[in-house]
Amino acid sequence: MFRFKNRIIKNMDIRYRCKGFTYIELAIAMAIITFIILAFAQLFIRSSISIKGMQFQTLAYNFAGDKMEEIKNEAFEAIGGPWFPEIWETETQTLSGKSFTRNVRVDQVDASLIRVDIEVIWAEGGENRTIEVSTLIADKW
Amino acid sequence: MFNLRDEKGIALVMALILLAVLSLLAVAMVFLGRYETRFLVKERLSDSALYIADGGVEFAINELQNDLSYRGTTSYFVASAGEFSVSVSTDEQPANHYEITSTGFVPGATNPRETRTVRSVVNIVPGTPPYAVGAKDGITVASNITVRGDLRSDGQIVLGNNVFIEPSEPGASDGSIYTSTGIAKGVWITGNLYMQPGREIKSRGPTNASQGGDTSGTGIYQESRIRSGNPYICEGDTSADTNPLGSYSSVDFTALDNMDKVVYGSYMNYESNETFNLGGKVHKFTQGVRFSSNVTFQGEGTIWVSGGSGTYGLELCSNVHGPEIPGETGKYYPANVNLIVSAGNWSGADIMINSNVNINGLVSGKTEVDANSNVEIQGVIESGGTVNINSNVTIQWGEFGFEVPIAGSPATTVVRSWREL
Repeated sequence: MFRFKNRIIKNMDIRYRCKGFTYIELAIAMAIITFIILAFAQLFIRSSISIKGMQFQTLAYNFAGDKMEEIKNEAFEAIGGPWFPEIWETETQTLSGKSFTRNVRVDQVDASLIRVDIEVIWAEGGENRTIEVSTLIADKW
Repeated sequence: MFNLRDEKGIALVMALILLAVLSLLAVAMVFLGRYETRFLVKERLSDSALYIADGGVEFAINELQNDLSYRGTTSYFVASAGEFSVSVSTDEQPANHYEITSTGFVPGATNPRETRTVRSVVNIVPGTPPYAVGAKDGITVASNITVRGDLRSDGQIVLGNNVFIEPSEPGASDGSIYTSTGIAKGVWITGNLYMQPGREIKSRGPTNASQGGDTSGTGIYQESRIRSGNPYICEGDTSADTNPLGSYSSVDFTALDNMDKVVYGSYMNYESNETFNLGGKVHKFTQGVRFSSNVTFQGEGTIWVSGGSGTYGLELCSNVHGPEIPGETGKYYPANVNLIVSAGNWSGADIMINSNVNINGLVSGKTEVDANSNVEIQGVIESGGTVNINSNVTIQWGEFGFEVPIAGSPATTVVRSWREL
């Protein structure tokens, strides 16, 4: 009789333990999951912003590089004033939904040597971002 | 005892493992994306460093054009974009060749984010016109012709069959065709034309677009006969490449007349199998001159016809060359001679070069220069009128075997090679 009672209690304990989670367990689990999700979300958002920014920077460099190659293939006489710091040529293009402005400035280092500076400006996160590439071009005989 | 059928708790463990793996993958993807874009930006910065390094080469070319003893600059800032250091060497280089090595740093040589180094060999040739064949009124090229250098005219250029226009050396920046004329068929390609990649044909004549295709009304006609090189075709060109040169007589005659010279007051006819000793002098023929076949030019010098009348001002018949190469019977060095006609009244051509002629120098006529068959010229052919080249002729742009005073352009610069180290 005594042995039978003990078994019933034991069985009842097991049933009781398998019933579900306590509120505390649930809260801790939710907190952990929320923390993980927030951490990942932040990582994704930051990465996304960073990747987007770098993509814009790459587009800006390409935009500048295209013009630089074009100018390098021009005859020396065709590249000229108004001289630095005036803008020689300016152009705006929309690339990947972003507006980029390219300014070309030419500076006469001496009669047969010029410096070409190409800056590309675009707005990102409420601020203007700029990259610049420069080279020298000689008037070859 | 361990029981495989006892699966209690396995779902949780599996879920955790899966979550960990997925998390790792997600993190890896994020970092890979960021790394890739960072790499792209690094590559763009690297491009920027390359422009700086190339600017160093251009800087050195400019310095060399002003002073051939220039040997380098340790540090030069190109605005705020970067800095380069450049050095110039002539070691193990042929005459008038300069090896320029330039390193570009972004943003500067101190703690650079990117560094690129380029090396270029530049040939600055004093006293050489900037074309292999140049003529004011027009150039006619027949068949099996090789021109290593530029063809340039203010008139029409007619190209025959199997014409090869190549750079003066592999990697050199010349080997193009330019005409400043605005007429139709300014460049008329009548047979197979072979060019090298990156070269160009430019004319100021009407464009294909304005004439409804490549018709006889266009500035460059029969472009489909270009068999290789895929040159850049530009009609209606307004660039400096097709600026009229005006004069295709590049000789400074006052300076030429002041050189050590021998004057011949009557028409001279040198018979066959003669040796003409140039002796480092200008030989000024005031009434014209003819060299018969098998003439050997000894030494180096200039043949200059300054007047007279007849069929040809300066005639080279067959087998004209320099001395025999020792140990190689029947093989000859080119004759180091310049052939110049500045005046006279000639019913044929100013300069007539017949067959089997091999010379190293400038061939400069006033109204007409003709080169017949099996002619090899290392130098330049130019004419104030026309140049007519027949068959099996090779013209290699380069330095002359004997100095010629050149008016106008004091030198020509050709970029022979450009590579990244």
